[in-house]
Amino acid sequence: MPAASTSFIGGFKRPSVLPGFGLTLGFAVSYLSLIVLLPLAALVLRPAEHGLAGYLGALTDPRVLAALRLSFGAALIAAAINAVFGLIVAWILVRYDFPLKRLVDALVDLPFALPTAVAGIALATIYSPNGWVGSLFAPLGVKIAFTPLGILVALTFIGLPFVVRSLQPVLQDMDREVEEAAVSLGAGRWLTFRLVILPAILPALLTGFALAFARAVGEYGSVIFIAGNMPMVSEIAPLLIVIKLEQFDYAGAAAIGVVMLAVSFVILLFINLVQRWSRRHEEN
Amino acid sequence: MTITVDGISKSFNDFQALKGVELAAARGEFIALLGPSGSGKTTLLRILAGLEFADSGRLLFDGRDVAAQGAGERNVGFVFQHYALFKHMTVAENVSFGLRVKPRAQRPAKAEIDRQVNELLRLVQLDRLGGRYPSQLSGGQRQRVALARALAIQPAVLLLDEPFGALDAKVRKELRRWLRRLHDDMQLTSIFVTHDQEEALELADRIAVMREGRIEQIGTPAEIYHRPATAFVYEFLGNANRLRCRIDRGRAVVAGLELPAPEYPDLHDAAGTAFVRPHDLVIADARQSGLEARVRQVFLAGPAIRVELALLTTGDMLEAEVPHGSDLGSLIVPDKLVTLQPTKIRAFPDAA
Amino acid sequence: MVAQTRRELSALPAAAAPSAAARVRLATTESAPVRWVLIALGLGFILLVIVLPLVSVFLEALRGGIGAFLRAVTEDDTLSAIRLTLLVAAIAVPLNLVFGLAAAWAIAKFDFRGKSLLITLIDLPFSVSPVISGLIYVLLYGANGWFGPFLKEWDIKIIFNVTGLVLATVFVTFPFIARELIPLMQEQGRDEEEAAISLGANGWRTFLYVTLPNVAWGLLYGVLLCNARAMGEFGAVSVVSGHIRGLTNTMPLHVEILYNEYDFVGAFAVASLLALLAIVTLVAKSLLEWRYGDRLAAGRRH
Repeated sequence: MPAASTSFIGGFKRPSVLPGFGLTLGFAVSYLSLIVLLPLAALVLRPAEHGLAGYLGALTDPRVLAALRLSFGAALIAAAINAVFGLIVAWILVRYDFPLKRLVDALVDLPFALPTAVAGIALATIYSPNGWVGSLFAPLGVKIAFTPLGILVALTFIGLPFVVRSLQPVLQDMDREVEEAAVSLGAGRWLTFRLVILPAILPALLTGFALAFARAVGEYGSVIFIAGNMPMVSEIAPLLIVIKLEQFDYAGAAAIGVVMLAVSFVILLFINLVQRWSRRHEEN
Repeated sequence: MTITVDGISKSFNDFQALKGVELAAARGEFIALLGPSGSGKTTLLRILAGLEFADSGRLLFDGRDVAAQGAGERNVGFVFQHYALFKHMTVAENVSFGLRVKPRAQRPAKAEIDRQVNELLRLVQLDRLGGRYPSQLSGGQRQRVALARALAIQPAVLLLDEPFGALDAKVRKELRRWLRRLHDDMQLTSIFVTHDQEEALELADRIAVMREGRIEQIGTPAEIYHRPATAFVYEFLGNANRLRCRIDRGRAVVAGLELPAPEYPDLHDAAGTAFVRPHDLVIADARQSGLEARVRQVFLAGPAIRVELALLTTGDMLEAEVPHGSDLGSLIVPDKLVTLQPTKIRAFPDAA
Repeated sequence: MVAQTRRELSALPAAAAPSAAARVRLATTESAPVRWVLIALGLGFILLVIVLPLVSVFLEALRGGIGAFLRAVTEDDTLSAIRLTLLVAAIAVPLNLVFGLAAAWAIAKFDFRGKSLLITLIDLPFSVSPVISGLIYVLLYGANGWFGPFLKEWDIKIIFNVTGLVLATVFVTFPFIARELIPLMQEQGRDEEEAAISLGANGWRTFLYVTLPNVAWGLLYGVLLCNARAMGEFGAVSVVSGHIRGLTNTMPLHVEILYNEYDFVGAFAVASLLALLAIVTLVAKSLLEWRYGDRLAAGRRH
């Protein structure tokens, strides 16, 4: 298959025998502009109506800062939890055999397929003080639902598939001979994992972590039912956007939106860099 | 270190990879396990290393049963066919790996590790490449890193799994000679798996020819080549022409021609196959006595002239080798009728 | 020879005889205790985090008995929510299907500058929060939006209207089909299409008879995922919908309303329908991956 080349000899497109370029590209770009670019432009430009001062003012409001801190902080911790347990789940799915393995493999995708509102009310019910899990912790004085802890639970739920699915193909394709070499040279199982396997799967782990984090930062539906939604305490950034919209503070809502969008971009960039870094030791 | 393989068998699901294999290796020997794919040679090697475990039989290193020992405890150096280098470590880190993972009590000081690594790299002629990564090396260089890495732990025995299989012919030849010299200089005991008979014949002190999970024959290269025990061994170790024959009291009758078969003085009119090497097949004028054949094709390029002939009686295709500059010029032209005179055959009776 | 060895072995003291059971584990696997702990941890996590919520949906839905369940599900507002959800999906999915095919054709069959930029832009909605996905449309078409006054003059309602729902849903589910088709078609190359053209077929026929059959299963897979997301989307549609019962409430929004009114059985009843949809999607997805794994895009990501 011919690789995409940058040598277009001054033209935009390489000559081709196949028809339909203008039609398909034109349609695709128009659609993209209408659905994606135009609205995003509105997002970025809106807070600028009040100038840079307006932007900064909207963002330094304590309530906004608290919401952003909560969203990012909880997302980070949730992604970290998913990194650890996601690795375990991916490992047992790839390396071991146990009954119902196929079922478990399919279930990993549930957070991805289940509507967020459904997950939201289910989690809220389970972790509320008289719910199945909440009632186990209530006697200990630990409240899960309606606290930042509940937010953590919800964000862990929706981030799991990203880590597992990022790791699975890499674990699958790992060269077992390299592990055999390590063993034959005297390394025990834990040393082999630490020195040989982990470095090899680190890029995939980081990618999964970043994807889970990105998803968790913007998550709304699964969280608002289990969060307390109390300003400054358990109010997530997306909820604050909705509240500001209802108050017709479009500029304020947009300002928060821009920050979250900027973070998404940074994460995407990070993932791209990680992917490239991971290929540095591949064959040329 | 001496190695004793005693009745080792191994199955994978329904497939029996090894069927009661026996082998004894003396200290300092270079033994080749030679055979086609599926013959079990790699399985045997991996069992020796502790990467697989036999279903039955015993494995002794210096008289000690090692079945309970894992791969890390047997002190063997294993060199993989595709090197299995640690991609994200430098060459030096790869080579020093075995030393770095030793338990604290046995681990040498860092300076000592570095010294040993440098010495090994010099030994394998990679001394300036310690800081490179495997992806920056050629196949031959990678193989030498794999070797240095295995040698770093000062193994009692070196096990090599088709180590030169992935390299091109010229590099392969150079490396294998160098490996033999290394083996001799370091006085290792080595066991070496290959499907390339030329390699085995050139390098090994003894060759074990394997087929379908069993050892067909063990012997020095000369023994294996000149006194093959079975038809399989004969055919595996070089080009062979096959002819149907009948073996009767120490003589084989091939298409009317009688030739000595002294290995079978007691057989009476048994059906069998006679093998002739191409260079033992002399082409003579059609009027002389021998096997009548017609020349089909002549290949002039190469170390010798190859002549393809069809036996008149049966139509079998045979190949003969004629040195360049022989005076048979007029005979070796296509469609010419000639006589073939085998100077040496080896006959094997059909299995009962 | 083997039999003789066995007899010899049995004569040896027990310590020297190799115990087949003790040493059968491969060099590259963990010891049994470690394995069991890892499996327990992994399965425990899955049970707690994934199975429990799923099961609870159905249990809560049936808490009042089958009768209450059926009543909740056949109530007027619920029915219109179901209708609306189906309508929105029925519009959004085909639109994104056409886009996906067009974009994949342009990207896979031609070389042009800016191709990677285009691909990145297509991936964009994936990394955007659902609330922002709705926010941007409010910023454009809402009462205080860029086009707000213009729309008001012409009495066109987009926000707080089905149109807005469709737009937001289109944005959110926009990449699914394209992301499935692009790598698939790139993998399949251009040879077959070029052969068809050289044999005299025009663009449409080539597309219909050569390209489409090749991507059929990938297309189905993408449509499946796109549909599941379209029907289940909550955050984005919540922002643009106005929550007008019976009019601009999709099923997920209806679930929210019922829950906030403490009608738990009702909320979970509707939620269980959505959960069923999710399960069907997962099953169909697994089946497709299992049977036609090689005909779906090689690098499938979320």
